[in-house]
Amino acid sequence: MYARIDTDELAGALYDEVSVLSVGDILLRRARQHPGRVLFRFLDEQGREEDVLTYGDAWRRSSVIAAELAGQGAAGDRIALFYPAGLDFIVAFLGCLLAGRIAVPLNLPSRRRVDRCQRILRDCGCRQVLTVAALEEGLRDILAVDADLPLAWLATDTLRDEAEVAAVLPPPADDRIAFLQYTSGSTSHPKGVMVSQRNITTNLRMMRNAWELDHRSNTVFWQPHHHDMGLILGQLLPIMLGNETVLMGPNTFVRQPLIWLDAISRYRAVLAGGPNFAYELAAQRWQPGRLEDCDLSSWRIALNGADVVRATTLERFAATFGPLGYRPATMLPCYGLAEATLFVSGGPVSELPRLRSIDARAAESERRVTDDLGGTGRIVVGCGLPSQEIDIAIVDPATGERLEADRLGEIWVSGATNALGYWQLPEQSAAIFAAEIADEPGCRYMRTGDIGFIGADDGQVYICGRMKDLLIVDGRNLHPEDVEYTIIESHPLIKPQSCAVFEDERGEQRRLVAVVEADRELKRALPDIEKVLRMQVRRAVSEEHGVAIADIVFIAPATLRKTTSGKVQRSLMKQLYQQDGLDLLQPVAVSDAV
Amino acid sequence: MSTEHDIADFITAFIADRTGVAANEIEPDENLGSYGLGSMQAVDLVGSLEDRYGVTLPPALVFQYPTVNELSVAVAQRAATAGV
Repeated sequence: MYARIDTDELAGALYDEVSVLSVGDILLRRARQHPGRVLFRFLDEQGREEDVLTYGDAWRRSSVIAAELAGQGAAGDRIALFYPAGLDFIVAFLGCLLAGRIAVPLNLPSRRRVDRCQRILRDCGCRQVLTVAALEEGLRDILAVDADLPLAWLATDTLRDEAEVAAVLPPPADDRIAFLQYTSGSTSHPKGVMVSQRNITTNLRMMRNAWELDHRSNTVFWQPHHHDMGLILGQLLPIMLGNETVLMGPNTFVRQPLIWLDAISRYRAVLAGGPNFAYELAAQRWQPGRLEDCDLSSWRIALNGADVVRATTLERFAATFGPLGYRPATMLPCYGLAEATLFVSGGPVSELPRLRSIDARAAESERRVTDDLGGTGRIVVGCGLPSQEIDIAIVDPATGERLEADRLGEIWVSGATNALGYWQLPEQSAAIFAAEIADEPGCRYMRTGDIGFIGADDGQVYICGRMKDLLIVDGRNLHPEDVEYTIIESHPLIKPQSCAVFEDERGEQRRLVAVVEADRELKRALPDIEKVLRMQVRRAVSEEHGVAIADIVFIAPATLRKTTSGKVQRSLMKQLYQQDGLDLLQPVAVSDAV
Repeated sequence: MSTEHDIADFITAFIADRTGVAANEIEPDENLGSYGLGSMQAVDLVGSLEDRYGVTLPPALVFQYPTVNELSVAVAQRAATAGV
């Protein structure tokens, strides 16, 4: 504690200077100014401090890795990063950036999910992998099945104790690609968002300014580092702030969410957060008598992003943790996406989240937002004011015209935080990242694919849905075609193009629903195999995607609605499902028919 | 004293709550993955069992004992040892 306070002045003095520097450059300056100040602490599964990294350590270790990388390959090479939760990841990531290599942070592949990983490695033309010694052999084994992927391996933790190298020079905050974020594409078509050095610096500055953060704003995060929120917010923002950050693994949080709240209390955190489900889980798992010594009064910003923000969750969380010093105005719903590096809107701080009850019917038919005063409307939560460094436009996706406040349309974003595009996908990049509003030539916007509006009275961004059928489960993006593919592969009697997966968002919990169209053969077999088939489908989907299908319904042959080009009409199937309009196969009726 | 039966009921109710599958559809000797229990929910289940029965469990317990019956026996044994 004393070391932190001693270095506070030094850390605070760099506030203006670091605003325009690359994250590697910021780290160098901070390592020179306050090398002994703690940057990260990592907590183990029981919430005990397992590892510590000071600003000085972080610079030394990442520059050693950078020097090692500089000795092989060339600038711009893509380097995959496979790391367990812990502090080895961040120094490897920064090592890549310092060496001018393009980092590609990836989730650790399991033997079953190796396919997605290999597609990404091929897509980005990766030739080198960084990991830790304990995982290298297992990973080599898993990835060796593909002979077209000759990979060089480096276990960076073996370099941990090496002395600093003098020759490493951080790159400027320019338009060179710093890393690829592969969270947007489907399994079959991975899309790597190209995030530049300038993008990172811009987005970090946007968050710092919007949320009034500085070197005293301690943070606690548990999000995985291969996810944009975990990386940008959890591991890069601290470097710009010069603060002290406590990290833990995602599993630590999910198993004992109260460890997260306890860490906020113990380390006097100002900023902590996660997707909506994190708040739901913590409230669900709290029991009387737990966290008695916990004091959440230091917590000023509880970020809630990457998923739909639910009013019921906000209430429940406040009711549960209010007695521990949590204030409802701490909750800060925000909006962002990897295509904008991360953060787009959120704030101002210390204000209660805005809730609007809107007339869902008027919104759907007229694309106009009108308040529903009868109390039967759909509640939407405001995701804050747009950052001052960007322009948000609500645009009619059909005509490309800008719409006024309280009109529903697609959310478009312009500004220096927009990523450069998708790796080696020039057409898709042009369509998404270089859109122009009708009659406003010369200004490039990024199309988010999200539907929402800007509040007429408060200027906040409200998110109402998505243009594409993307599923968002616990903050992760999931493509319905991937889940449908898994279902089709799970049993030979389920035929290609016979399945629609969507979310049923009625009720408190969103449920995934699969509608499976039977052909004559399946219809005949169904009474005997239905139970087994349901289990097989559920098992395949949970193994492959880690999510549960709450309801599986089988419908009569040739009743799955498709477009003339043969595309499954998921939203129409969802509508029919919700209105009980599906031609369901009843096991009894089927046996009668046979 | 927590019986295997009580633990099994708790696990079944947990699976039903988190996956949306009806409790009466959940069979005691079937792999929990068959009800769509994902890896994150498996960790959530381990933590919930720890809270309820006052034991410390390995995070991968559900993967070692993947059915309601196997898991409830394993938890009951650990709860009994912890209670001594």
